Amino acid sequence: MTVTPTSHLQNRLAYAILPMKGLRMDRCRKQRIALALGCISVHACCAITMAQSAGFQEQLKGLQESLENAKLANRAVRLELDETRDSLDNDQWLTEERAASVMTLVQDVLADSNERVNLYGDGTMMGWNNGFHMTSADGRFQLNIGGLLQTQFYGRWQGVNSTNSNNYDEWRYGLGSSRTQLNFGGHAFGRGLSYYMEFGWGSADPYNLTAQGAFYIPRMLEAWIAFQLNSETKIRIGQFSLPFTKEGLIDSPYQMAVNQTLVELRMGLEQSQGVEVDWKSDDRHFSLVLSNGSPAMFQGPLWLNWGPNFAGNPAWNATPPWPALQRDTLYAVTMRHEWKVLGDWDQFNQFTSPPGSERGVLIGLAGHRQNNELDSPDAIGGFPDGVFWGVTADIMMQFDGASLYGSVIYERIRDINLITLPTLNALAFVVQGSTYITNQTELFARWESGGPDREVVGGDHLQILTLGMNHYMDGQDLKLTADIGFSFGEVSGVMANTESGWIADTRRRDQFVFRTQLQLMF
Amino acid sequence: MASKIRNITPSIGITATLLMCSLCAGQPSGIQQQIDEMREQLDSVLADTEEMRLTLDELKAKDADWLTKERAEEIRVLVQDILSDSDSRNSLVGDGLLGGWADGFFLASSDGRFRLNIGGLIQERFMLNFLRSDNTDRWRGGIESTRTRLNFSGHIFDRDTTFLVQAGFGYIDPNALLPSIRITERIWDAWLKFKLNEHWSAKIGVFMLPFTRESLVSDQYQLAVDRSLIDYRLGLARSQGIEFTWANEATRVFLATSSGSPTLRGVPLSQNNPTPPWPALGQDTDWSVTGRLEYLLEGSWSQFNQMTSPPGSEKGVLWGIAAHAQNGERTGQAGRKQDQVGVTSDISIHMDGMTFFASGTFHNQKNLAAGIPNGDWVGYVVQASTYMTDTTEYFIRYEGGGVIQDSLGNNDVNILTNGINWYLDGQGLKVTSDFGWSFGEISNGSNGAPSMSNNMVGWRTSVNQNAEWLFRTQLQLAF
Repeated sequence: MTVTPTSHLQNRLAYAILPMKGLRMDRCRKQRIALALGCISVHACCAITMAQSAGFQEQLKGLQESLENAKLANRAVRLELDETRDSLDNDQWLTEERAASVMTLVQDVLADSNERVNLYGDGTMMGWNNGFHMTSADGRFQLNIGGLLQTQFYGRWQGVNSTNSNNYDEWRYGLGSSRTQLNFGGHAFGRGLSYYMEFGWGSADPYNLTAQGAFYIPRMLEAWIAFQLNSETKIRIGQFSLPFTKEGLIDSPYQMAVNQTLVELRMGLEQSQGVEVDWKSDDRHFSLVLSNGSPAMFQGPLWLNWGPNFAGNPAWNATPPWPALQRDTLYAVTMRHEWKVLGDWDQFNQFTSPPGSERGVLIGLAGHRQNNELDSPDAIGGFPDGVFWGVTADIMMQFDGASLYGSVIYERIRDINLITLPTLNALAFVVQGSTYITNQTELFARWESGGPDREVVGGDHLQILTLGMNHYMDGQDLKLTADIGFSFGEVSGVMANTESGWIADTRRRDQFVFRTQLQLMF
Repeated sequence: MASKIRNITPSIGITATLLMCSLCAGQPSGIQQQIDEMREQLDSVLADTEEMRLTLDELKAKDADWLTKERAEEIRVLVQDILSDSDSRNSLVGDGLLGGWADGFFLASSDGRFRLNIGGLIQERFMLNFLRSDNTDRWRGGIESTRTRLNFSGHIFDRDTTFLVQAGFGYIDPNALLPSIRITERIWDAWLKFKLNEHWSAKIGVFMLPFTRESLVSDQYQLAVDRSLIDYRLGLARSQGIEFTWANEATRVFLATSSGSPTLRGVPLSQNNPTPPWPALGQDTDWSVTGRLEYLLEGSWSQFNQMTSPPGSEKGVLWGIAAHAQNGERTGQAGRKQDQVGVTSDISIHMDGMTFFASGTFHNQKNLAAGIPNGDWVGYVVQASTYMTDTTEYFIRYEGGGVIQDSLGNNDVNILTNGINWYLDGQGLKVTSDFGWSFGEISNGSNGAPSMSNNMVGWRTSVNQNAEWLFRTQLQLAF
């Protein structure tokens, strides 16, 4: 008989129930039958129990797994529910998506409100939007406030003291602040009427017409009102630069070098007061100005004979505004026509062509004529009835990181002085090129030459090469410019200019001027 | 004993068997209980999960549709409320600073204690003058920026302390005291005003002396392109000093003590600097007093801030009377004391689209020139206007006067001016054109007396009654 663990246990149990060894030795048949029945029933019970137990275990195991799974699912749902409740109830309810929805809604409200159009877009009625501004809610009035600061360091070598003069200073250097300006512009009574006022401190005579070039005084640099008649035509009234040379039309902070050329400062028409009709289409731009005339090129009637100044200074007034009835010109007409071959008009408001900018080509042609008012019906001293006219042509090319500019000017003046200077011709040209060496740094070179043809006013011996560099720390708004100019010819008294650093040198002393300028504009 | 044992043995076996059986039968019933409990637990968990899932679905649905139509409408109303609350189109910036436009650009503190108004005036003028003369240029004309200025006004600390600074570029010698006719930087007004109580206020600084009404009406609210020649000579112009004002509904009184009026060359330092501010210790006057009394017979005070009476405006009548006296400072005991006294009276009538204005002025001057102890100045202005359309106004003005003594010039100014105002946007954007004809002479002044001519106004000296005329057109932008 095979001894199974169960039978072995049963045996042990039986022995435990029959404690006395003597009784086990003395068994009767009934006892054996009872024992056998017991064993059988125990076995049967055990077998049944074992069988039943195995089924329950399986069931239990299955239930446990289900329960575990259900608990896991419950936990996950609870977690999700809590998060959802949190997101609905806590401070973070304004998610990016919701913020965007609210934003869209508010923008809809604002867009619908015609009376508050200015709130749609740049957002506020005062503050900064590419410049400081204040605006009315309906957008009809806007005041923009800007400023310009230019601080320079100049150094000049005037050449050797060949005459052994005791009063000759070979080196001159120092700091200066040539322009400190605030400007107020904007529109009023609708966008069709714009205005601009520019005040500040600057040279009393930036064009060296008088001996007051070294005086820095409060000045009104521009003041005008403009009406936009339609999308192409505009009328402007007030004080502004006459539309002649492109160099004269580009504002000071947008020049390439520290200063304009000597050619421009003498032969450009500068500023005057007048009325301008301006027509601009996609590719052509035409300006016609009737003005009080240009003070350039010996047009003394505009800036001489102003009566005694308060402090006893000479009665000169080299820059507008000038009174209407002061002696100026009988008439003065200036016209300029521009062809935009390539590019965008705005890009030609500056000489530079930053990397990444559009390519552009602009050709300009301009003419000017003015006839002086008389001192009296007869030319009795002073300036006689003088006539001054001029033409100029220029080309600007911008090549996405490089630029080229060239211009030529011819001017003719009659009756400056009936005896010594009945007529005068002046011819000059400027060539300028630049290229960026990094995204912010630009090298440039400029050549200028020319002047009046008569030796009595210095002749046309001007020849200056200027080499320089611009470092645009923040575009034109924060810019450092350094240049050095070499004079290979003569700088006559007529062409010299105090503000730009060049003094008269008719001995070809190889004068050179080093200039550095820091510009802040906003 | 053994038999007993033998008898109980089967019972033990049976009992043990029964015990085992009951044991074996009891085991499955415990597991069943366990299973039942587990089932209950499972059902509970599943039910809980299902409930949570339902709630979650609801919440998610709510979350997805959070911006309901109602909410959107609520937000819309809220935004519109915010916007409509800012009735003066204010803009809130940073720490409660307000700014924008409210009938002018302004910045203000949110508590209303501080306010800065920024305004501007641009007057661009074309003038053409003809003078029949054999020794001067007969035709003179041109364009000029007569006035380009900014003004900063407002109140500080509270609404009772107000200020005005008006600076820019204009004629440095508007009263033609000097040969200089520059347009350059200058100050027009610069004052601080304290409201003392309901009726009294005090102003200190540079301001227009309260004498003729024509002077007291601002440059931008005149009827013609500019004031009359008479007013630029016989009005007192600006000075620096203190002015007290008493006002009620129908009466106003201005009392000013100042450095004196420069227009008749009664302030010596104005010969070098024709417009204030002047230094306190410069040679001006020992004392100078100006008083003006105004009766508002009909209308409101504010309508008389301008010369015109637009269609639809209130009818009004204002009568004013003023007096001035000043005692000049002298250089040393031998120096002449240039004293002067003056009186003026004016009446202004506004008639809902029409106006009438008349004034007469008289000054007596002592010791203007050595050997000429007495100088008498007289002047009058009569002016009227009527609207032809709602925005177009015709006006006419006659002015006459000057110094009576021929040794100081003459009093033959006789000018008739006709003109039109076109109010494109009220006084803010206006075109004025007028044509003036001189029937008399415009003296050049002599023996120290100032000339009646004035380049800013456009009249040149003409002493031969050969006729002089003047055409002027002005575009004005004021904001």
